[in-house]
Amino acid sequence: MKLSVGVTNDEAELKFERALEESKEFTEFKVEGVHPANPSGNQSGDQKVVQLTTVYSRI
Amino acid sequence: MKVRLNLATKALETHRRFLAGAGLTAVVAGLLFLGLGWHVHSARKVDAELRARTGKMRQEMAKLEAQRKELERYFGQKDIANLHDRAAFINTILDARSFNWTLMFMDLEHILPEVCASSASSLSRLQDTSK
Repeated sequence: MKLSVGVTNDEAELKFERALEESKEFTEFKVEGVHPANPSGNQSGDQKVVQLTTVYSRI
Repeated sequence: MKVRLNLATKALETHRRFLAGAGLTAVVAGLLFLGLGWHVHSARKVDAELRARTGKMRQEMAKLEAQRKELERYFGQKDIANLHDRAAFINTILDARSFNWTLMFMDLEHILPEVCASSASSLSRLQDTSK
């Protein structure tokens, strides 16, 4: 899967990445890039957008 | 009256040792000949089998090659190629629809912290191992 996740701060980003690391369903995640969130149309107050790829598997 | 006379003009020579040696050599040579003959026979037999197998495999290869060319020609036809493209397109749609997005988002929701829970902005699928 290719995910783009908006985060409000660095702490949230780290928290999310740690949760992704510990997750059984999402494995082999790799951060492809981080860029600032687009101010127009950003209602949730995201500071930046993290783009990552991960393998989602469910048995 | 009995008189014993030796009328031989040459001295008596015995050839026993020579005959024994020659006989032994002949026996050894014969055994060696038989052994080598058997070895040559086996080698020729193996070689013949190998050649037969090689020939058979070559024939099979030629047959498969002809089949491959025939299939390539068949799949190279314009209507078949279009059908193939269409099948690939339909397969991608079927594949995408068979993926359980709801379950995936539920799993994602569990690991997404609240501070970024609302911001999963886009998602595109690269591969599917859920099946």
